[in-house]
Amino acid sequence: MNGIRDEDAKELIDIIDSMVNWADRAFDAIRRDKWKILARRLMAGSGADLQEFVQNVVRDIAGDKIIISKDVGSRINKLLERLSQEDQQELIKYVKRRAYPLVVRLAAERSREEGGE
Amino acid sequence: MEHALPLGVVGRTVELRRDRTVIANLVCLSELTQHQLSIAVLASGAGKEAFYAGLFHDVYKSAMNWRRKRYKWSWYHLVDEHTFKDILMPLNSITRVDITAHQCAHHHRDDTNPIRVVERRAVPAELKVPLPEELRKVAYNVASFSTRSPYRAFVASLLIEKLLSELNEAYAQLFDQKFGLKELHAKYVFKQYQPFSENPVIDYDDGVLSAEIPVRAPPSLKGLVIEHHYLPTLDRPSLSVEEKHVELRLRFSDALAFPIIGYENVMLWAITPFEGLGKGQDLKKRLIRAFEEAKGRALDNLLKVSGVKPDLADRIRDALPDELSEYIPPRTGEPKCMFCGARATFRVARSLERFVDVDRIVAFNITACAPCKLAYDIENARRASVPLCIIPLPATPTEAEALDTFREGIVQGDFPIPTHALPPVKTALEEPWARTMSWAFYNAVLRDPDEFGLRKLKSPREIDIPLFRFFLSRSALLYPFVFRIRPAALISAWTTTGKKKFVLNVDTASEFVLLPGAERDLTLEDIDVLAPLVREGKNVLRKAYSVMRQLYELGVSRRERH
Repeated sequence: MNGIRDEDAKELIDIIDSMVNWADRAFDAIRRDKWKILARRLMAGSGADLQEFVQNVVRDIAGDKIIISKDVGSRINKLLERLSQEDQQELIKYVKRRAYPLVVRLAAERSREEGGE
Repeated sequence: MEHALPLGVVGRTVELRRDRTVIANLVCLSELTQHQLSIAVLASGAGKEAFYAGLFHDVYKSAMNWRRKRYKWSWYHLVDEHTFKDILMPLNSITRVDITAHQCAHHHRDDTNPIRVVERRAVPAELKVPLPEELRKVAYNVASFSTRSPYRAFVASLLIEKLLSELNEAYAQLFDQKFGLKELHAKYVFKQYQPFSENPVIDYDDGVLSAEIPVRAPPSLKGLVIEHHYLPTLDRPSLSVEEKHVELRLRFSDALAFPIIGYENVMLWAITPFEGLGKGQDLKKRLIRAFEEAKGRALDNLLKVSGVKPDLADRIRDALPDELSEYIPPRTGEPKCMFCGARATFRVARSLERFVDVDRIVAFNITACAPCKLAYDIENARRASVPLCIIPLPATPTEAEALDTFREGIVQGDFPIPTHALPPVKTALEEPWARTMSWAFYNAVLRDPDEFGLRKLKSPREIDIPLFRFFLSRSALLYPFVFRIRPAALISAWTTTGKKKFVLNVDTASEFVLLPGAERDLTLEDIDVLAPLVREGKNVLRKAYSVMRQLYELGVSRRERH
C-alpha cells in the first residue's frame, strides 16, 4: 500500500463531479447546492472497488443524467492502474471520511483554475 | 511556517529538572509582554518598584542571546543594573528607578528579589490543566457556573463575556490608583543587531507606558512590527494584520483572566497579587472586592439588554447567582426545571405545544430555574437571527518549532529547543494568552459581538485573509517559535426552523467541534484537511470560505437560503 494522497482523493471527486451532467435542466432547482449534494453522496457512497464506488455515487446523484467522456475514462483507468485493490479501498475510506473538506478544497481550487486568481 | 501568524515574542522556555539536572527544555506558550504583566501583578505586593520590575524584568530576552555552555543552551537576558537604570529612567516620576533596575538585573540571583520569589514559588510548571489548589496561589476564582444543560452553559457564556469587561475595569482601577499605570503599549520591532547593542526605549506620559522593544531577528523578518496594546476601556479585543504590521488590542483582563472547564462547570479565574509578598494580601483583598462588585455589574448589564420585564428581571437577579453557580435539585414536591431538572420557580410558556425538541425536555411541565428562564427568553427574542455564542477557552499548544531562519541566522549551530518531541508547556500564567490565541482563531471568522455577546459569521467579503490563513493553519509565531494550537471554546448556537426550537442545539466545550453547522459541524479533522489551502491566494480563500459556509451550513438559516 502506497498511502493515500490528497491529490488522488481530489482526482476521484473531480472525476465523479465531471460525470454528472449538471447542465441538464433536471438539475435546475438544485444546481446551486451541487457541492453539498456531492459531499453528501460521497460520504454515503459505497463500493467493493473504485469503479463500483464511482458508479454508485454518480448514479445516486444523477440517475441517468451522466456524461462519460474519453478523458474521464482515461483518468479512471490511470487511477485504477496506479492503485492496488487495497489502496482503492483505502482511497474510498479516505474520501468518505473527508468528503466535506475535500469538496471545499476542490471547489476553491477550481475557482483558481477558472481564472479566479 | 511560512503562513504562521506573527503574534508576539516568546516569553520563556521551561526546564524540567530531576535532582538539579536539566532533563528537558521545552517551549512554553508564553508571550513576553503578557508574561511580564502577569509577573508584575503577582509581584505587586512588594510595591510599585516590584510592579514595574515585573513589567520589564525579561525585556532583554528579545535580544535572543542564546548561548551554549558545555551541553546546555541558556537564554542570557540580564544586563547590568546601570543599563536597566538608563532604560527605566523615564519612569522616575512614578517609581524609584534604582530599586526597579536592581530588581530587574538580579531577578535570577537574589532569593529576596520579589520577581524571583513569584517566579519560583508561585508559578509552578504544569503539564496538565492547573488544579484549583495550585491556581489559588496565583489567581482568584471569580465565578464558577454549572453548565449541566445547554441553557445553563449559554447563560454562563454570556456572563463570562460581560465579566471580562468588568474585570478589566477592576484591574485598570488598581493599576491606575496604586501604580500610576493607565495603558501599556509594547511595540516589537524586528531588526538585525548584536545582542544587547540595542536597548528598549521606554516612555511614560501621564500613565501611558510605551516600550519599543528591538527584537533580534534574521533578515527575512526585518521590518516586522508587532504591537500589543493593553487598554483600560476597550469593549472587545481586536487584531489587525497589514503587510508586516500586526496590531493586537487587548484589555488588561485578556492578559490576566481566563475561563477553564471543570466537571460540569466553567470557572473564571483572574490572576491576583501573591499573598506572600509585602502588601500582597491587602492588594489581593482589594482586587477581590472589585471582582465581586464586577460580578454584580455584569449581571445587571446582562439583564439590562435581555429585554426581560423589570419585575421579572428583579426576580431573576435575586435567584440567578446562586442557581447558576450551583445546581440545586428540587426537594420532594417542588417543581423541576423542564430544561435541566433543577429546582424551578419561573414559568416559561403557556403550554408544551410550542416545543419541538421533546427529547430535550427533562421534566414535562412549563417551569424553569432562573438560568434556564433567562436563556429561554433571550433565545426566544433572538431566535430568528441565528447567532452563535462563542466564548474562547485557553487553546492547547500541540507543537512548537523554532524558525529555520532563526536556527540558521541567529543561534547558528545545533539549537535543540525543544529538546524532546513533547508538546509545548503552559502554566496558569499562560492560560490567558492561550485563550487569546483561541480568540484570534475565532475572530478570523466571526463578526464583533452584539450587546449580548452573540456573534455571527463574517461574510466572505469581510474575511481578513491573513487571519483566515491562521484559522486554517492554526499556526502562530511567538518569535522564534511557531506554535500550532488546538483552539477551544464554549459554544452555544441555534438554527431557525420556522418553528420554535426551544433549546440551543449545541452546547459544547469543545476542542473537536470548531463551529456548529446545520448540515454538519466543522471539526478539527476537517480543518486539517482544509489546511493546504493556506498557500492559495485571496480569491481562492474567499471562495473556500464561501463554499465552506454553504456546505456545512455554518450560520446559515433556512430563511436566508430559500
